[in-house]
Amino acid sequence: MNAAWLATVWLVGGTAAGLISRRLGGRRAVGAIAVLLLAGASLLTLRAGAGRSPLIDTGPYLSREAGGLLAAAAAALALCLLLAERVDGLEVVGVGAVGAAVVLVVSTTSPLLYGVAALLAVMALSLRWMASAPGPATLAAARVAGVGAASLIAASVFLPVSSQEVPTRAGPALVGGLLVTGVITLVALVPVGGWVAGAVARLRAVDIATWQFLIAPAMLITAALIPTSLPGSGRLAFRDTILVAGLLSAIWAGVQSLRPGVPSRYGRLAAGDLALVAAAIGTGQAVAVTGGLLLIVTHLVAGPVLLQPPAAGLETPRRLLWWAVSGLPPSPAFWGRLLILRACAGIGGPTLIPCVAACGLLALAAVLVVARGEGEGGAPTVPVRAVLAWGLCGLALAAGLMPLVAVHAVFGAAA
Amino acid sequence: MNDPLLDSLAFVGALVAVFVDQRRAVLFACVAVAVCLAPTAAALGGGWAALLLAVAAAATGLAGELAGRLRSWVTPRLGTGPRMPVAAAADSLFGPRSLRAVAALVALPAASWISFNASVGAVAGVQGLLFPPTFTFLCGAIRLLLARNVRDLAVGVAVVALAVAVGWFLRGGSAPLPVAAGVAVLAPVAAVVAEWLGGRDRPDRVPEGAG
Repeated sequence: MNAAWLATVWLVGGTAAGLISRRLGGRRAVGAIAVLLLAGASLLTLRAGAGRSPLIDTGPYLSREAGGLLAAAAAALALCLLLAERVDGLEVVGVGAVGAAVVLVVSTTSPLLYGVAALLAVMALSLRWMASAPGPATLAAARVAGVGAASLIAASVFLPVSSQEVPTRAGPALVGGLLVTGVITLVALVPVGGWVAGAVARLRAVDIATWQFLIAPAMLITAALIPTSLPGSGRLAFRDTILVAGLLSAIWAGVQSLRPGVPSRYGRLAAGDLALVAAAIGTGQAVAVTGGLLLIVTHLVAGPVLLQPPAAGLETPRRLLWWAVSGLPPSPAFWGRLLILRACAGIGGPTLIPCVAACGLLALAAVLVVARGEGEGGAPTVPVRAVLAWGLCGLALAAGLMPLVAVHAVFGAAA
Repeated sequence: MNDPLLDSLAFVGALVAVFVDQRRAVLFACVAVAVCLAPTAAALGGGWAALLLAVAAAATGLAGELAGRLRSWVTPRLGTGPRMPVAAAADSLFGPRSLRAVAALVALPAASWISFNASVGAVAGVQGLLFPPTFTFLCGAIRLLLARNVRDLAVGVAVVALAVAVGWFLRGGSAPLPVAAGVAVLAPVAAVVAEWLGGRDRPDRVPEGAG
């Protein structure tokens, strides 16, 4: 199965599961099983081994990194569905549509298809968000992120940048600027990240997770490859901008997540960690990218529980998962942030100081929640959800004790 | 055909795309952009390129009309319809449109600068012909950025798609026509989404942020 077929499977499977579960009932179970099947289908598309038939195995394949991300994200989304208090079935349709576009984003080698797929992902996500919670905050997702995806499409017209380009011409810098605008918009970095911050307070866990587990990590792992295809000034424009925007966003997210009574504190903290991943890409160092991948794994494990509102009976596992994202050793977030700090220290003080500040603020926000708790829980949870939450705690502990094993398990040995 | 004339035509088409409102805005914007960019497309990619724009505009109208007809088959439900403003008051001459006009004024020198300072071309660099698709693209992006409802978003996506399709002919490379057609398909898709949601929306709902 190639990537085009996989995208079709995501789209048709998600739509069918959503509509069937709305008609026949069992929305939570049908949705979770369908998304888990999509995770399995993603693993079938990995490029591995030899002896493939050229007649049936044509077309682009997923890299190990991209396929691992898709499978892990689908598994995390299935857990989100199982842990949710209420499921209306249409979440799975949204997951399928966004996932199909994300499959194209991570598998294509065409800059134009990359931009078009990003636009389709944004439009599917924003239509789902607007249908779920109509309002200015969710409309902003389509407005701002749509412009970001459009800038990726525009950049494709200028690619590849001619090697004979006159140095005074602005072509390479323009392409770098368009690409970085698209990436920082879709990853929701400062100054264009307000669309996610505004929406997370209004949406339910699965809808937020569709961006946090699928779109943002997909953009980040593909953004890490972009600088190699740009000439000097374009590469500089891309890396410097994403580094600065990532660090500023992480600091801003840290400050916001420290505010008392802020809605969706975890959503802001996760956005801060994704911003650190973007900054890691900006450093251009492999060790930082590995740290970023570990942060993505951390939130794939902790997110399905922490994106849900607090519930009675889940206080202890939630506290353990807050510890996992706190950055205190030996939490997985600690190793991820440490690797990014190390890369920033290699660049110099102007990069290291904001990185230390960002990591400190994010750690403080999480530690305060671990120390104080999250207040009164909601309705008592069912035992199955408690078991799932404890299972995720075990995974988080394992990822903290064996961070490289966790990264390699999800993204492959080359990560 | 000389460059100033192509630029002027593109300017007119893009302005229509910036200002058009109300029902069938996607179709009107696509027709205006297709008609005004067709000479540029023909100059860059030949008659087939101009025909592609005409087909895209016609497909947008047809697909939107078909999706609109489906509204009688579906039960109105709570959702986000294209006519339902979710971030501002209903359409008016001054207010939202004046913002778009200011943004289009800013886009004019920006498109001009890009046209003179950036080169496009997979094989050989081309300069100076970028203004028509660039200004149209920026106007589509303005519609996206200043959108107040799903219909505005659909207009933005459709205009951006047609502008990039024309830009692809400027870029050249191997088989630009199928690639440009693939991008232009976004225009009818946007029209279908806008009209389909229009059929599913319950008209008595007053959304948050309206009024």
